Amino acid sequence: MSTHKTILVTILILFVTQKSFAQQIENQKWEKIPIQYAIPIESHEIDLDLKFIKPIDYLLKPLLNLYRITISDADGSVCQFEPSCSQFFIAAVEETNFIEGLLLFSDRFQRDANVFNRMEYPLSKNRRLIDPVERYLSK
Amino acid sequence: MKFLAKLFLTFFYVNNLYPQSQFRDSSIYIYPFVKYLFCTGDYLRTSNELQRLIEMNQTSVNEDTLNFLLGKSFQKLEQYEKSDEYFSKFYNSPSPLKGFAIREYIKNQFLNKNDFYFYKLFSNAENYEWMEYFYTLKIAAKLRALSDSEIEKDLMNVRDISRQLFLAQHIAKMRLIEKKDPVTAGILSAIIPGSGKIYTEKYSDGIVSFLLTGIFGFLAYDNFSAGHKFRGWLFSGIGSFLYAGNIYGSIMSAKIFNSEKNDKYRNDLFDGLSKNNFFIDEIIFCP
Repeated sequence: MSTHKTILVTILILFVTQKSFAQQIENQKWEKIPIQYAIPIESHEIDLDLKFIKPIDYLLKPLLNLYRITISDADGSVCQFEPSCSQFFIAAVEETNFIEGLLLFSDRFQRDANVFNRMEYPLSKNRRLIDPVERYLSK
Repeated sequence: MKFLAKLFLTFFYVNNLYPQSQFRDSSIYIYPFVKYLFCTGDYLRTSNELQRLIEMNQTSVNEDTLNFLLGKSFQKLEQYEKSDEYFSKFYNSPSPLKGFAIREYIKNQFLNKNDFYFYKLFSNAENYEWMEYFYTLKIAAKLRALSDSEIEKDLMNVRDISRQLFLAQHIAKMRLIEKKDPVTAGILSAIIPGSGKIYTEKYSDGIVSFLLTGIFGFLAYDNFSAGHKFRGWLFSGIGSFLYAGNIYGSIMSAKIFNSEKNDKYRNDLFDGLSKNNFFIDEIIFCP
């Protein structure tokens, strides 16, 4: 085969393979996508934390999961604070100790029930009230 | 002919490129550029260019001016140790900028929250103005630390009326900062749930704490009275959890109240000092 023919065949092969790759797949034809006006509903799967690494986890994680199943899941993601109450509890226990963390969580839980204290806290991007544990530890 | 044209073009471009590099590396042109950077607030590039200019050692600009600008740039970048290095060069200099540089050096110690350990440096009659300025910022540092020990004694060394007035006002304000006792807040909440929060001016939090603890307390009492022991213990547990949290929360609330008042006072003090340019006369570098 001469050089010209080899080049031509190569170009042809490349052209054909490229075309075949770009072809539509038979069972996935292009069609008009129906527009969804409904607001997607957030998943209601409960985010259970089952990683027991430290000894305190055996005490902390069951309590936390119980709170998530019974309280947090029942009323949905409505915590007005950021971080949420359960995340606040974990951070409080990690930063202090179990008793002090529990007391901080109890106080936070009561403040969460108060709907008239919104002006006291700065707002996050998600329009939630910023109230990290550090606010109580640095004093 | 073509060769001649190429030669001409090459010659032309080389001649044009050469003055450009001259322009970029010439100390005559760097200083106006530095001033432009300084005046537009680009202190990082100002410090880089100034250091380059000093290293070139060919500048027609006074070296004291360059050191002063470099000190100011590092001060703006909050690199106070480096800034001190340049301002301290003025100690043994006959420069007209000496007085300003010493004041800037003292200001650095205030901004860097250093102790004013170096006061002996200014403790001779010749440097009376610096001593006065030193005492002004020493008192401001004490006020920032909310301490009034020997503050009147230090105030005697400040004779400028506007500074005296400013400091006296802030001493009075510091003594009048409202404080809430965390122990009182805790005891109040232990007696009547939520009252400690009301004491720390968190009225709605106090009412909610009172209602929540009260409701669970009543539910526990009611269930025990009706003979429902399990429910009685359950509500007692929840009520106790809320009661303990309410006491701890009141103590925290008092601490946060004090901390917020102290921060507000410190911000007012700093705003006042900034408004008065830290009592240093402005040197106009920027047009």
